[in-house]
Amino acid sequence: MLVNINIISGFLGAGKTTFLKKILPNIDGKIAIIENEFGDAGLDGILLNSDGNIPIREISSGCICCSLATDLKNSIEDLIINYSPNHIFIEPSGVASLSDILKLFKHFSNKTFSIKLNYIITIVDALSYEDSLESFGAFYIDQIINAKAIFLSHQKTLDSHKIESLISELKQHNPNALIFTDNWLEIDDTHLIESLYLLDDFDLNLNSLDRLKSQKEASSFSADTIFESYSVKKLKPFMETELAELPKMLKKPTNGNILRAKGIISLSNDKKIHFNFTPQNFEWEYTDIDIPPQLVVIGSKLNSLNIANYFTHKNLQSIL
Amino acid sequence: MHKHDQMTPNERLTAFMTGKPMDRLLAIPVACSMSGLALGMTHKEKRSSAENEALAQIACYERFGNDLMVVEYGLHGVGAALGSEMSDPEDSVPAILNYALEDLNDVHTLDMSRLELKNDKAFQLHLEAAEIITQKIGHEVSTGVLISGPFTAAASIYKTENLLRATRKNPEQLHKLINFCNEGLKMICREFIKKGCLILLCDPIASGTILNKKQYQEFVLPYTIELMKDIHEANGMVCYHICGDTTAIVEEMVKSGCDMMSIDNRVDLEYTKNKVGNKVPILGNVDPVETLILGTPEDVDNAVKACIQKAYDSPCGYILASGCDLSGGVPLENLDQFMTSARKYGKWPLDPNNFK
Repeated sequence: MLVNINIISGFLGAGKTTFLKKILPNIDGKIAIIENEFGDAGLDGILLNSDGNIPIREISSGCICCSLATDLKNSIEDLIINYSPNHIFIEPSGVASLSDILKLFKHFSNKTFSIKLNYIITIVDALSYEDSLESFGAFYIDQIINAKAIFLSHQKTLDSHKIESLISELKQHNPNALIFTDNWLEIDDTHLIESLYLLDDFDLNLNSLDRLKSQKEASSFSADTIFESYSVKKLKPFMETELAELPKMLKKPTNGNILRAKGIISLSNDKKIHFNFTPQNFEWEYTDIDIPPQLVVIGSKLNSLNIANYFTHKNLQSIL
Repeated sequence: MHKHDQMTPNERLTAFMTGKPMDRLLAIPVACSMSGLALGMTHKEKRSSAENEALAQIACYERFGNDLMVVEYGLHGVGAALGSEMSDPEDSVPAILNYALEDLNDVHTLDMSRLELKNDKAFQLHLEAAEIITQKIGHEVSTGVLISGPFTAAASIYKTENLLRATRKNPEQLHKLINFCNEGLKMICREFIKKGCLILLCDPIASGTILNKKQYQEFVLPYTIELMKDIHEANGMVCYHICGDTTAIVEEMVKSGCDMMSIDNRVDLEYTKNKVGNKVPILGNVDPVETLILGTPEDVDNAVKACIQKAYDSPCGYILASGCDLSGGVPLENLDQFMTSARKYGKWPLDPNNFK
């Protein structure tokens, strides 16, 4: 049995709990949660899905280093034995050292289950980043250095110049992390999850390469690790024969570097299809899902105007 | 006395303090939180009565022959006495559910009398445990109390992340809170000193992992100096420990006036020896989690050997210890091995050929 371990780090107020609330309802499989803090905004209210209650374990945050590690280990084992989750989401205390937590998983080999370190996400509060970096000890930078993906929060009030310099600093600390620049608070929950799937792709891609060479050789995937997403609603109807053009269109450099796209399109014959796109793969199928046509794309340097034009304009030729 | 030793821990400690020969190095696996394991007790059972807490320590001593008994006033004791609401887990150290202080500007409302012995049942319990231990085995081994330093005490009253934020946003009130804690700790330490306890002052929230050096100098060190001065005035002795990576502040830590200094496994023992070994005896630093909880006896043996190699010649003396308190499911065989290795590599007179 494979258990995916997911860790959502970040200082108090960065938005860890909000982030979890947005993604958890859209994660497939059985979920369990470990929280490092009591009495926070609380995930309790939302934790009803088709499986019923999602179990939550809380761990003490007394002595940051040792009791945390042992409590965490016990909680994980307890959850696996009693609940067999596919995913365990861990929301550590804001002052926890992420590297210490990751180190713990070296000791998790077991005959009955195996562990995969899946989403290792740090949420960085863009507004207080500089201040925090200066004021706090090693734990703060540790969370950035050890993340597989970084999501920004509270970036809305910053100007683009400040955001750019923040991103370049984050990249200096952690060149391998995917950095999502979107204001995820405003992204549709189901679309946010697409960003996580991108993380899966990226992970696979990196694992298949020598880690040291990954910067260069992964360029076919993208040497750029700064991502954004874009969604379009009110799509125009397509002819079924046009669908074959879709992947070609999505690969066009003039649209930016699209790494994932997913959507629901209505066809001129009143049917609906659901499609999935990655640069390596395109597939679609009929669907009777009761959702209006819509699209989400994730990638870097997206040309949102071009993309919107293609999916909403009747005249396809105008941009092809 | 343990069957494999030739001196009692008291005789050994006296020899250590006076520079006389001993049978082996002092060895202190900090068996505090987990001590109930030696009797098959959970942490909840262990903390439920003074008798149980004492029996757990005595059982550890009988099995391991470790050089110090440790009662657990704990890291959250101050907060709990002041009204922080605690969890009550079966087999781990209780955690804080709700903090006594929600708004730092209300620090003046904290009531010092709640920390007094007569008003704090948990305090009474731990003190009584120390008395029982001393009464039963005090002629052979000394007892220490594990207690929070001022910054960690503050973090048991007011949530850590807010506390950190206050170092920038509201330093004035934060100083008031830490000062309040320090005054409380002085009073508490004095009661334990009256019962003959050594003070094991632990300040994990002041860790270099969490605070930077400047914050340490402003919010931790001045209070710690004052606290240690008071402990000394009461004829107490204090071993100072901060968890995590304190590499940047080991020299600051020793300015506190501590009698001994214990370091986490994150800090290199040789580095510590070179920086402060000529000022105080140093304790450390077998990794409590990776080695003692998750490792094998062979790992323990190697770790003990490595520690002794690095620090046996520390100018003011070296005491083999775990890098932190042991909590959670430590295999008792690993602690047996810790002591066996201490006897093997730390045999007197110390000979580097024994631990090459």
